[in-house]
Amino acid sequence: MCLGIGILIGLLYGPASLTLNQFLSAITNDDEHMVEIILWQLRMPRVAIAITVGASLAVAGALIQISARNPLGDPQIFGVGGGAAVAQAMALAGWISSGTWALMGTSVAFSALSVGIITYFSASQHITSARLALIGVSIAALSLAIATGIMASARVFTQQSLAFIGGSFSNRGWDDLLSGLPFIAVGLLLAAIIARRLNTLALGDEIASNLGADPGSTRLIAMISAGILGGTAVALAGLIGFVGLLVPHVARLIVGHDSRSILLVCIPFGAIITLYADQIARLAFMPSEIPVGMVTTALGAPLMIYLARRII
Amino acid sequence: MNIYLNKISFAYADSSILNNISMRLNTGKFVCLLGRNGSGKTTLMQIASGRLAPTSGEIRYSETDNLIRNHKTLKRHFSILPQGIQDPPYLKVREILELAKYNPKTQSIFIFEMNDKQAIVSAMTSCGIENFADRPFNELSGGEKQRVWLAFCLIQNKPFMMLDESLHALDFTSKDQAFRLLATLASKGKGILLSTHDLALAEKYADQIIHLEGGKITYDGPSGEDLKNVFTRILH
Repeated sequence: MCLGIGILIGLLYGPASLTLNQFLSAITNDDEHMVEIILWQLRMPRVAIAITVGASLAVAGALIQISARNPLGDPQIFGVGGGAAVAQAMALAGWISSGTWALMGTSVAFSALSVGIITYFSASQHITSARLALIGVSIAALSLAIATGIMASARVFTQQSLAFIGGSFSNRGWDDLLSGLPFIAVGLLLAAIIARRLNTLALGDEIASNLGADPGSTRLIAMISAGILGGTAVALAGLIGFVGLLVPHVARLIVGHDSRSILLVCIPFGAIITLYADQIARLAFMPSEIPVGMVTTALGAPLMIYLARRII
Repeated sequence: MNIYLNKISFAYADSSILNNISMRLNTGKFVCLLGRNGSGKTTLMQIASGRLAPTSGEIRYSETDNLIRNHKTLKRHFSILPQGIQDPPYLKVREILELAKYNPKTQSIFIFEMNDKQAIVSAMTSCGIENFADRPFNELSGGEKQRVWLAFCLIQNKPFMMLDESLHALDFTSKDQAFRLLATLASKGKGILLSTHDLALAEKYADQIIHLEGGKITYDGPSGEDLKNVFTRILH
């Protein structure tokens, strides 16, 4: 219901608002050519990408929070999307191909590299969750610094840079979504495979291992999955903060601590929050747009402070 | 059930940790492992419970039984509480105890049969935590947390429990209660191996005391004059 209303707002309202009749005739493929373009080529892919990216970020955040035993788990904070950020910056600078499929593949590959570095440290037996968070934050900061440096040295337009750093769904089409979907499907499939085993990681590696679970491989798969989902999300929409951090905490509050329920609930919750944030980003200062990451952060930060005081 | 360790040694490339250790673990016995920091207690416990392979030596279920070739098979006989367990984030007591029923074959967690629920209730009663079920674990006191972990071990229903300095942070009263609980569990058939620095409580409650020094056993037997002589010698 909530998602449906969000989708309708995303399709009907904008610089050129549509009436319900226009919307219905465009859906049924009538003569309204202009409306059809606005709806099918601009708004529908944007809504679909917002839903996909929101769900991906939320699931990636939940995977990191559970596998690293750290409430700060978020694809941006832990740097798993950092590699994709560098790849995006290189594409904006014209250093690598900006073709849709090539860019998506490069982004995910670069994210895998970030994940490799983080997993190398997280696999060490005596690493504490605080140290792991510091490693993640360092990689995230380093990636952003490299990405910003690349864009500055190549004199990428301010508007493009801002859309990337603040996150944006504008100028995205079906091609972008289609190139991201296979990666997201793989990421979600991996998450589904380990969803049950993730629960045992809360006990620490030694106890989990003694129970017959395999914490090392579980954590590795979780981080790979988070890397794929986070990297694809960055490639589709730039850097959108707080969705991956906040949504798993809200999910935990509602469904408890079973990893399977958390991951499942993160999909619609992440989608809804990101979709509504994009509507605010699009419509609040029409005809100008603000970065969607700014909206998610503005909405997420106070809620996160409240949750932090209450549950962490 | 018994587990025999015969002439067990363990060494890293540049240093020897355990040297020619032989000992026996029995169900129904409360064994305390004493020794200075670095004397090899944790390594010995890891080897006995199948978490570490010895450099040399034999492990068998009985003196006449076949050699256990894959040390990891020992794991299924032990519930463990390793040193320095971090609090599980977010979880309530009930949720932690439910994780003890993890089954690697079906990977089922949070799906229970009636027997599992009864095992949890029974372990909570044994450890005196029946009123804690819905409390967040990280809000419990140190003593209460230890009792939850003991219940966690009991629920696994394995013949042996292995606790590596798990009670060291408790105040004297809580520690005394925990020792008493372990002695009760041993009297009901559980085999318990606890590493501790508390000689007084070990003497009071344990059936058998093993003292390690420099990777060798310097005492193995019940508490008594001989044990006092060993400690007098160490102190002087």
